[in-house]
Amino acid sequence: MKNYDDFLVVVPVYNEAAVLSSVLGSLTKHGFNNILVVDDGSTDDSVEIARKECATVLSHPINLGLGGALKTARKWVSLYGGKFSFVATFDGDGQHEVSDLLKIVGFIDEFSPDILLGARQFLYGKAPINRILISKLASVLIWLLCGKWFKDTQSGLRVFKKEVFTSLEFTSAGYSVSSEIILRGVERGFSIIEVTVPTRYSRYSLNKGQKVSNWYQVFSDLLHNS
Amino acid sequence: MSLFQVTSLLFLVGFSIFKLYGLLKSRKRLIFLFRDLLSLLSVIFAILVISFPAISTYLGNFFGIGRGVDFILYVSILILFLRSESLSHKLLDSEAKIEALVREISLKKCDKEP
Repeated sequence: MKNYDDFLVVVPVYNEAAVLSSVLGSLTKHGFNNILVVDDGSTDDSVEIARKECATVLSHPINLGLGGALKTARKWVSLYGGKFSFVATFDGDGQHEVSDLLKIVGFIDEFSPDILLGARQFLYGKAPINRILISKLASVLIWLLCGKWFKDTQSGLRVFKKEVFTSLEFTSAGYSVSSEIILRGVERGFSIIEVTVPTRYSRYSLNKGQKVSNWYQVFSDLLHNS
Repeated sequence: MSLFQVTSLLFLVGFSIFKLYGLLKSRKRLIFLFRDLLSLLSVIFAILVISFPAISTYLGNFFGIGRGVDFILYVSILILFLRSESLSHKLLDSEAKIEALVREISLKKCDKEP
């Protein structure tokens, strides 16, 4: 088994006690031993579970949102992450498989991009129609703002060169951070590659994921921060 | 003077006394002086317009709006918009400060090595 000692996997977590153990366990099983869990004010046992799985844990006393969690991770990496070459982000709700991460990591040697994005496939008939529409809308908005088309602007599966991750100046606190990362990356001229990964919808991930009602906030944050 | 005018005037005078008392008691009164001055001017304007409604008609004509009530409506919309922008700015500022504080707390308590 290959060791990914130069990788730090950032797992933002908010009340994921039901699946967190298996998510972290599968990461370590595949050689990703450096895991930074950013607990965003969970009220369940997420922090204890993360500690039990030997992850480094950053714990917010209150909920800030996905962007707030990623900004905390960025600060930690810039302070203590000297030994890493790459930073990956991996959702804590079990939406991704480690095989997806391995697939996108495989593109590093070949293309050496600054940012790799795991673009989920939204298949008609399999994915909920509202998610497909919202994803397309977000892609159109990003295209209008930066002139480049991305298939999935909201994916939580990403790999960055460490210096890129610490230098990206994203400011959003909520879900819009995913799109803002792309915008900032394009602005700075970083090479960004999208790698298609399968989308897995479980009842758990559908309940945990972004709600349609959040999307007004996402779009307005994005326009505000662009 | 109508009952509405009397009630409005009583409310405004009470509000002004309350604000003035707070202002004089505050140790930071110099910092708040400008904001409170604007507030005081607004109250004086409101008292004048309620007591002498013809003033609003005069101002409406002067600014080319016509009816005095329209003039008051436009000014109110402008003031509410500016107030809402100012509050929104303050809210964002507070959120940013809370976020920075939360981040510092979590980083102080964390492990330095994975």
